[in-house]
Amino acid sequence: MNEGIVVVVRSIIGFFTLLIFTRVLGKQQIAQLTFFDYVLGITIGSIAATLSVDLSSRAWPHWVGLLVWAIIVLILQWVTLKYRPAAKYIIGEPTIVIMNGQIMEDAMRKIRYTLADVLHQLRDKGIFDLKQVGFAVVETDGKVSVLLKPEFLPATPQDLNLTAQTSGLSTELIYDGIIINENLKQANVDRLWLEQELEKKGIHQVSEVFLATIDSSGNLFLDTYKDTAK
Amino acid sequence: MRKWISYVVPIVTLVIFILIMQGGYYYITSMSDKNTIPQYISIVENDVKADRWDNAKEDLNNLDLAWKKAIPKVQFHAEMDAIDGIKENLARLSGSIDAKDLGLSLAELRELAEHWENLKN
Repeated sequence: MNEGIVVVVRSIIGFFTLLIFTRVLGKQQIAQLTFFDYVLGITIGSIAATLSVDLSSRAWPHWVGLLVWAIIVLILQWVTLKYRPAAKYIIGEPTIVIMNGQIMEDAMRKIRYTLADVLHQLRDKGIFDLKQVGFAVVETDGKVSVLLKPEFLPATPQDLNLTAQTSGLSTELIYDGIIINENLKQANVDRLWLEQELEKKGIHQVSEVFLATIDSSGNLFLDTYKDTAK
Repeated sequence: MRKWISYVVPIVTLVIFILIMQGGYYYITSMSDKNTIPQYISIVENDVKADRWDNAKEDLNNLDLAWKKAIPKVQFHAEMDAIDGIKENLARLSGSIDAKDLGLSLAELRELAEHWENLKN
């Protein structure tokens, strides 16, 4: 028995099984980590690690364990999507910890959230003065969402009666010195136009460009390999 | 077309993984000619019981060769301890046959057969 080869094969099995299962489970696993998802991630990761290197036990039971955990998560995800009460029970509900500027001590006690936790999360959002907070809600993933009091909210173009222009998403036209033809078509421009634009900026070769993007208004952003800033 | 492939690739991958992990089980439980270990265990046992120690030594070598050929087929399925257990049985069996010790030889052969059966689990 070549232990090295066995570990290599078992690691490949563990790695790609984990990859396939997490892809099946969707983005929820990595994006909205509730406490349960966190524990779940650790457990599934631990099973995969044992599968990979624990040669004193067979790979198969660990793989079955991995499969069962993934199936249970999949079922729970389906249940929480289909039945709202079940979602409330399994995932929990957001809890209001500051309402109209008042700290809700009872609600905080119920979810075992301390004032220090709230203040920490507020500071994380750049809010250092509790007086500014209208509402603060602890979400199911443990993060705090904050609504500032109206007088502390930043002014928007609408408040100032200004018309804002939509900048939209920019599209990459050149990346790493290579023109992305699909994106040229998407942005309704052609290679000739792009080369002319580069010429205007004194760039003679596409390979000199690290990144070129175009926004929805047709404005071109260029970054060359030659950096002027030292 | 692409969507079809995106489903087929992970399914095929998982099936290959299952075959790698469980292939050893089908080898151990199969009654094919390639699976000669239970037969050799039985032959060596008969040799030992009939006091044919030279034959037992020769058949033990065949059993050892058959085991070495079987290792690559069962190594992804079996526990390392079970594989080590069989290796130890074969080593002790070799010694007990050299010493012409009937009791020890039979004990090792029975344990070896048990270890081989345990690989199925």
